[in-house]
Amino acid sequence: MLEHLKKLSKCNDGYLMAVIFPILIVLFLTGSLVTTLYLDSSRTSVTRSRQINALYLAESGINEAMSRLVEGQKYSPATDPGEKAYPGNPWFTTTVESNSAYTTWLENKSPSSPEIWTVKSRGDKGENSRLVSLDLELKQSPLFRGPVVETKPGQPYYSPDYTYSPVFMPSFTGAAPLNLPYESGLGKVTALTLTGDNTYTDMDIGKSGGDAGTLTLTAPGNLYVDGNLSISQGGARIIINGSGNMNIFIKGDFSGVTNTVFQVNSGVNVKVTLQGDLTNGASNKEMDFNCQNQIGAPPASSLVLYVTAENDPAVNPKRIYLGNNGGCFSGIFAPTANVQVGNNTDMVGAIVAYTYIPKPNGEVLWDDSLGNIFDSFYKIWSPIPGSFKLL
Amino acid sequence: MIKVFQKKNGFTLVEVMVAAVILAVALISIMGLITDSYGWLRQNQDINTANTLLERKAEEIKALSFSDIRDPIPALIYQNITVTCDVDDISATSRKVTLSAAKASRSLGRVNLTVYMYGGL
Repeated sequence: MLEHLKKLSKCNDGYLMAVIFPILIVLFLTGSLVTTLYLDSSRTSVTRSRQINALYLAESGINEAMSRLVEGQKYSPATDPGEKAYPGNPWFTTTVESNSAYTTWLENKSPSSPEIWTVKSRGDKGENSRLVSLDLELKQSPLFRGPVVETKPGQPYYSPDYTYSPVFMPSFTGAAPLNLPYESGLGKVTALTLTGDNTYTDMDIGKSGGDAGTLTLTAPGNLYVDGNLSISQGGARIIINGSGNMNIFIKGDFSGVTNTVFQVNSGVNVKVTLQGDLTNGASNKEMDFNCQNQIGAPPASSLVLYVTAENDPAVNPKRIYLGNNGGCFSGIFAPTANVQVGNNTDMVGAIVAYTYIPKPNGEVLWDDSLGNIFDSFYKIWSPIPGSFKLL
Repeated sequence: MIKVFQKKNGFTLVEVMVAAVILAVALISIMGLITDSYGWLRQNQDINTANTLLERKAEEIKALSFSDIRDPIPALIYQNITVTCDVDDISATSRKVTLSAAKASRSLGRVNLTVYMYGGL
């Protein structure tokens, strides 16, 4: 047996195979190593690509949260946030495309600092995710003091920190819109008095051919105009009396002509929310807004005109035009509108406009008592510098 | 070992042929793997470059004002890799920006970014 093994060890048969196989093993191992390394590198590249996408999705969530906060949308804090936890009640989830989405929620930074919040957003790209956070402070805009603030970039009052809240039209509720007696118009029926909530289609106060009409609104109440509101007959007027708040929502335009009046009696606060333009006639046609109480305390805070900001002012600005020789005692909040005050027209109040266009002898008078006229709209959410983090 | 090389006996023809065939098959397979790996390496380099370009373009877009973020946004081209931008309006105050990186019509990655008119990052 031993002799046989000795012979076998000295045998040359199969020697070449014995040399070839180690070479093959070395080659195979080398090839496998190179392939594994490259495959791993490939997976890393693809993963990094998805993580970049997830990061920008997360940032998109922060952007959307900022936008929603500026627009005044309601939110509720996450109940069980944790550092990286997916909250049980995210504020919103937005799907960008299949397997790409972001989920965003708000956390109160500290009960002792109710105006400091953290917005967190998680971007998901497939199985990859990124979580980012940004601290926000709800604070009063330091720039809001009248008389005129322009929101257009490059204008003297513009600042990147300055922002505004668009005012959105509420849903029309209650009874179906009514039509005014269009044949006769208010001019012939002389007067219409509305109390409580009312919804109308186009309203034309003082139709031509009739006597000057009067629309009397008794506060508190709401008037919804699902169209245009016009005061088209000289001498016609809208009077708001009663006490408390009167809200007028106009889905279209609001226009007036010569010697017409929009009168707000004392004890009433009126908010006119306008989705279209305010055109107060052409040259020498004017409407007095709230000018009946010029003697005494400035009444401007009792009338505020809001122009809703659903348009891009750089492309298609709204238009607010106060005609010549008129007067206006009000706040005009129209950050997406070009506001023009006509010749010899005095304005007492404050104007927030995309662009303010004054005419000769027209001026805007400011009173400190108007300082809070838009306050509720000027608590702005500001990012705290340096607080953006990748968690 | 010296003795082995001093042997006068050669390899049989069959032995040489079998060894040659085995070696050839193995070499072809391994060379194929290495060739494929080289292709993956090139692709990795492209994807890495594309990732950098996508990040760069995304940061450029973030620095623009909202009104300037609209089609057409110039493409970014580097080493035959092109990053194109497609802007879609979601609403009057928000837009979706899709950045796509490609080389000779081969996709190398994509980034989605939603921007808003008010504030944000």
